[in-house]
Amino acid sequence: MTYRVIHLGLVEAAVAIIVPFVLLWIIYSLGKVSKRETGREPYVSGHQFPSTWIPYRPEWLYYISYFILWDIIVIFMLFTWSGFSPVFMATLIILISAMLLAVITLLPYRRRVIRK
Amino acid sequence: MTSLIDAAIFAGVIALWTACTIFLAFIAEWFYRKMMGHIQHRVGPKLTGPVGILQPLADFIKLMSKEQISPRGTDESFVDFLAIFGVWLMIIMSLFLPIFSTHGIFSFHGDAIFLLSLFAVGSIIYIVTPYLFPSPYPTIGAGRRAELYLAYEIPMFLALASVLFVMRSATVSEIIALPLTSIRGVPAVIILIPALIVTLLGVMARVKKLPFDIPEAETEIASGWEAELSGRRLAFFNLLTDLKLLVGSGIIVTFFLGGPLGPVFVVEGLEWLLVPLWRCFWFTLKTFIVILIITIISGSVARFRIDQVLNLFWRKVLPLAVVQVIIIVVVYAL
Repeated sequence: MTYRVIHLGLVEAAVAIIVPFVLLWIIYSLGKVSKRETGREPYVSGHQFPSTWIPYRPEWLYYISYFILWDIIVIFMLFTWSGFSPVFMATLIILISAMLLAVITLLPYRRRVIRK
Repeated sequence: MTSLIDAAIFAGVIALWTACTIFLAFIAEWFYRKMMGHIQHRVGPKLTGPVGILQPLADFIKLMSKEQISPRGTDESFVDFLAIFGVWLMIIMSLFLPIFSTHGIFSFHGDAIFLLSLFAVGSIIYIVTPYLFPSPYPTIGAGRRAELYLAYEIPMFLALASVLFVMRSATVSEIIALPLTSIRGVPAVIILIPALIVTLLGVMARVKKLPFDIPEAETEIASGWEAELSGRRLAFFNLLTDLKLLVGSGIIVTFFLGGPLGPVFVVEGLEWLLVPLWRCFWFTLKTFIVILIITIISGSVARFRIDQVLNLFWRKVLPLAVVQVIIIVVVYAL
């Protein structure tokens, strides 16, 4: 049995990444936009939630989860290190994206959870 | 000009692929709910479409038209972004699965590693999103999700890495030959049964199916991580869960069950059409068999407590994954 490995060009890769995102964004935009921020029912929004005691420090789970994610990606990168191969570049992009995600979420996370 | 037309055609193919993947995810949810209904002596979805097959689509449309409610202080734009990003990530992952051929639309040397990296990133969304709501229920649900993630990720990674070790390759188009491979006369699939069990449990925990749905335990923490999701956000996160079930089952099929490989019956002159259709048939059939197995387990076992799940994964599943790696090392060393 022989296997064929194709290599997409830069244009095709960009199209394959952008088109689904644009489509999903359009579908999401079709949803009802009007928002309600107040409510009196229990368990729904509008309430000023009191401080909640959580029997562990959740920020450690958050940091450890990100650590494991980075750890796995870095291990993958080490395994696949053979110059600038596509998979190395791809994992590098994912690593940078994950780190950016962590940095972006860090601020609201600290504000909303750690001070809770 | 020609390249522009080619790019436009390719964009059309990708758009069609996106629509088909989403529709298949709805079919997977319908299949799960219908089979779960039979297991629990219920009818399951039956009113919308033939045998209720359009019920998940109807639910999606209904949620999209409902009002969006969120607590004061929610990071609205970031939750919206994550809802779209999660679904987009699963669709990108589906492009790596060998559905119509022995390789996916995206294919390069080492693409299996890239596929697993994307799968790991997808789980983080479930942890990040609930923390963007200033509400205690999502916070507790996110904490549970993170604990679960820590518990299943390492054994699952070891189990899938075992397949890569056996095949000595990290490329999807070579990994799918696992059922045809034998190690010292023993079929590799038999040696990798512990890895298959670990991966199956990992995928079930990843898609939060019973008995591992502790992050959203309705009776304990009011749906936990998704308590504050509503309207189009809930529609997209439900779709994300369906896509995860589909893609997770597809990864099991790709790594352990030969992907699209199977008997192919063709008519001379129509190979270009019939071969991809047969490949798609075998891949879809195997994927839905995996979903059926997940459904049977989900319907047979009650929800675990958080301590029971952590106990299971850290004390039983992780050692099983380590034993699997040791078995492979021993077999190759002998």
